[in-house]
Amino acid sequence: MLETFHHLRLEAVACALPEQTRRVADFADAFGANTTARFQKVVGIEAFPVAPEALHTADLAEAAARALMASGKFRAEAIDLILFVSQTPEAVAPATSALLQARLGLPERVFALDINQGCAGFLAGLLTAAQFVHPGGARKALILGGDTLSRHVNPADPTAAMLFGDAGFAAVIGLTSEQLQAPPWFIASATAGGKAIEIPFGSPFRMAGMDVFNFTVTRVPEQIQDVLRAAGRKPAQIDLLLLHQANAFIVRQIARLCGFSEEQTPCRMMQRGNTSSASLPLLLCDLTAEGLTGRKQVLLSAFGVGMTWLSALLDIDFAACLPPIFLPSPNGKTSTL
Amino acid sequence: MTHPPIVPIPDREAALREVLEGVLQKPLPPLENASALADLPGWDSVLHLELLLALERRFGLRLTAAQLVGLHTVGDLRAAVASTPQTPPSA
Repeated sequence: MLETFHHLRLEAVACALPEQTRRVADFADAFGANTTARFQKVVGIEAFPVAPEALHTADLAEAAARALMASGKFRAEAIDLILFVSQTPEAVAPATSALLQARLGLPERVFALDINQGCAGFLAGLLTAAQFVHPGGARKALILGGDTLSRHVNPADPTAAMLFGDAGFAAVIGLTSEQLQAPPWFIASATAGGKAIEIPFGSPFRMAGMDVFNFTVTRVPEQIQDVLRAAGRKPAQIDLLLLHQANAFIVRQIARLCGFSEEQTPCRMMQRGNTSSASLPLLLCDLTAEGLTGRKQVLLSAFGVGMTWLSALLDIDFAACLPPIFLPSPNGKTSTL
Repeated sequence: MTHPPIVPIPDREAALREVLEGVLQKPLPPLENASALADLPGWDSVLHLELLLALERRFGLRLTAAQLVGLHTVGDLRAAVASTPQTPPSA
C-alpha cells in the first residue's frame, strides 16, 4: 500500500536510552575474539544500551515524552490519540498506551491503542497516526514506543546477544496550519508474513540471518524506489536516507542499491546497537545532537519482524527533534556491564 | 576519482582463496565449484556478510540485489569475481 498524506507535520521527536551499556568486546570470552571482532566489523556495533531490570520500555517512552513536554514541544491537553508501538509492553493487559495516557496526564477523550510491531514500528506508528490526523479528525497524535529486547535474547546466541540496544521514543504529529505550504507525505507499507524473525512465547529471539539479509536487499530497495517514483524524486534530490539501523553492512548495501551516497545515509549504530522501533527516531535525535539543523527532505525506511517494511518521504524540521536523553538506573547506579 | 581495485585475471583465483582463508582464518582444501558456502567451516550469516565485505574491498565487487542473494557456492563466487572489470575505466 502506498498512501499520500497532506497537511501533516512531524512536530516533535525525542528518545530516551538507559545510561547502562554493554560492550561487544566483553563477549570475547563467551564467543571468542574472532567472532566479536567480526561482529563489530560487519554489523557495526561496539556497544549498546541495556535497560536494568527495573527500567521498562514504557518508562523510556514516558521519559522521552516528558522531555518533549518540558521543552514546550507539545501539551498533554492537545493530544487526541496515543499509540504505543512495541514488542515489549508493560503487561498483557491493560494496554500500555492506556497506562501512559494516565501517567502523562492526557485527557480522557484520547483514543489509546497498542501496536505490536518491531523494527518497522516507528513508521508503522506514523502511518497509523496519519490515518487519524486529518481535518475533522484527531488534531495531534502522540506516538510512543521502543523496545527492551536485551531481555529477550539467548545469551548463548552470538548473533542476538550483541545486537539489540534498548531505547524508547516519543513523537508527535499534527495538522499543519493552512498557511504553510507543506509538501505531502508519501508512505509505503508491506507485509510478507513469516517467521524469519520471531520471539515465541516462552522462548528467546531467533532469526534466520540469511533469509533476513535476502529480504532486506531485495524488498526494501524496491519499496524505496516506489516511494521515490510516487513523489517524482531522484535520490540526488533527497537530503537524507535514514535506514533502520539493523546492520551497518546492510545499510550500506541498501543505500548503494538505491543510488544514495554514504554521505546521504548516516549510520550511527556503533554505540547504539539495533534499537528496534526506536532506531529511526534515535537516528534523528543523534543527528540533532551532532548539530544538524534546518528543514530536510528525508526518506525513512524501516524493516523487520513480520516481515513488515515501510518507507516514507517527508520533510523534517530538525528543530522538532531533541538530542537523546539518558536515564540512570532506578537505583541511581550506572555501569558499563 | 578513486577507481575500484583491479585484480588481473591470472591472479583472481589466488586472490579469492586469500579472501576466503582470511575470512575463515584457516587454510582451505581445493575448492570445487559446487562446494556450498554454508558448508565452509564456521559459516554463519555474519561470516557470509564479512565474506561479501572482503570481496567488495579486494575485487571492487558491486553486486546487484539478485547477485547478492544468489551467492550460494564457490562457483557463484568465482562467477562474481570473473564479472569484475579487467581494466581500469578510461579517464
